[in-house]
Formats: sequence, C-alpha cells, structure tokens
Amino acid sequence: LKRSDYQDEIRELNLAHLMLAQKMLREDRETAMFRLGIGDAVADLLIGWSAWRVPRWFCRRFASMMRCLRACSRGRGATWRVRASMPPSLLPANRRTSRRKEPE
Amino acid sequence: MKNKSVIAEADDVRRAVEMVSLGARMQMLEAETSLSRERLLKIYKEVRGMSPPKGMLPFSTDWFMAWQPNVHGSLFMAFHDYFRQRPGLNGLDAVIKAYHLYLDHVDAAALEPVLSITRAWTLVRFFDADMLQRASCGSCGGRFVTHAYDPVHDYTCGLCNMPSRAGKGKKRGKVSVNARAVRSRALID
Repeated sequence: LKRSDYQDEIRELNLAHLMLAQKMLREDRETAMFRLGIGDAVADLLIGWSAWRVPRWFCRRFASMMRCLRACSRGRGATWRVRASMPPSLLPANRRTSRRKEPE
Repeated sequence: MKNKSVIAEADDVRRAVEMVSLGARMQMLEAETSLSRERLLKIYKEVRGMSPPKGMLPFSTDWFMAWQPNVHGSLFMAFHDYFRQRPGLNGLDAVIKAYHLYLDHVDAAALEPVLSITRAWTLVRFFDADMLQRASCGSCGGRFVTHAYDPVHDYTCGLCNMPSRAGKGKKRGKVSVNARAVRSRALID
C-alpha cells in the first residue's frame, strides 16, 4: 500500500506562502498587515529576512527534520530528492555543495 | 505655495494621479493636494483623457442611509478604521488604501462598486465632522454607519433586517464603474 506523506507539498506551500507574505509586505506594508492579520513585530521580522535567508531557514528547519525522518523510514537517497524539489535558484550554492559532503 | 519643496510637489503629483485614476473629483484633489487648479486640471485630463465633471459634490449624509450604500459605506469604514489607527499614515493615504481594499473585496464578491472614492472621502469627512456615527448591530455585531445622535440601543443592520426591495433598484453607481475601469487600466500600466 503506497501512502504519500505530503511533506514536500506542505513545505513548498509554506515556503511559497512565506515568500508571498514578504512580497506583499514590501509592496504595501499596511495593507499587507491587514490582509495577513499580523502585527508590527511579525511584519518587521518578515521584512527583515533577506531573499537568501528565507530558503536557508526553511532548509535548516525542514530539511534536517526530513533527513532524520526519511533516513529512518526509507534509508539513504531519499533526502536528496527532498532537496532537489526545492527550486535550485533559492538554494545558496555553497550550502548545497557542502551539505552534499555530509555523511547521513 | 511658492516656497514648496520639489519633493513635496512630486509627492502631491503622484497622489493626485492615483486619486484621479481611482475616479476622484476635482474638489477632492484640490482639498488634498496643494497643487494649483491648472496643474490638477492638466493631470486630470492626462490621466482620464477628458475634462472633469462640473458641479458640486454630493453633500447629504442621507445617501449613506439607503440600504446598499450603507452596507458598502460601512465596509469601507471598517477598512478605514484599521488604517487610521496606524501611526505614520496620513488621512489621505488611509482613505486611498482603504478604498483599494474596498474595491478588491467588491471585485472578489463579483459585485458592482457602489461607493466612489469621492463618496468614500466625503464619508470620512462626515465622520470627522461628527455628522455620522457607527452603531453595532444587535443581531450580527457588525458596526454600521448611522446618523450621529440617533438612538442605537436596538439597532439592526440592513443585512440582518433586509428591506423587501433590497437590491431590486435599477440605479447603479455610474461613477464607480468608470472608476473601476480606469483602475484596471492603471494596474496594467
């Protein structure tokens, strides 16, 4: 029985949502805050993140968790599929190569 | 007006263009910017491709008491409330942002906009002059526009207690349809 865990989809959706929120905030801060229902503190946090930092934060949080989980359930190789599903342009190059050398 | 800074003037021009593209009348432009009437006329003609309509602005608060205008006006005021409370946002910006949100919501519901930007601006001015107030509906809890000093302890809004001929009228806001067309063009540009 094949059962999908939707983790990739969920992560992609979250990342897209975060990037969209950032874009909205940069364009029109007050309207975006109203639409997203967030306060000043969260808006400042989101605006403060650079385009490089959002995916990095996501990689760290989700990929590391995913790596542990997948290593347990499916063995090696599964992690790289996860990372490959990220748009390559969002991943900093040096990080991608350095991660590749790490033993799992 | 002679010693005005170039940057402030550029800011005024930008605001005037935005207001005209949303369908503002000359009176609103004159009140909210410090540009000369000639320049405003030029801006108006350049953006809309026609002369501004003449005549006075509607000045009666009664327009906002009819069923449909009341609902739309109350929606706009709810948005405006949020922006007015934000520090660092002046009155005009609050009106423009709230009006954009209002148009977005009306579009999302596939309705015709009833409130034009000039009406919305007048509505805010009526509130500033204490001619109107907002009353909480006893049934849905929403806050709706009413005359100032009306008794409101058992107020029921037009949505909870719909008049029998609600929405059957033939009258449509012609200014607002125009405004929406201009706005969509402005967005494409």
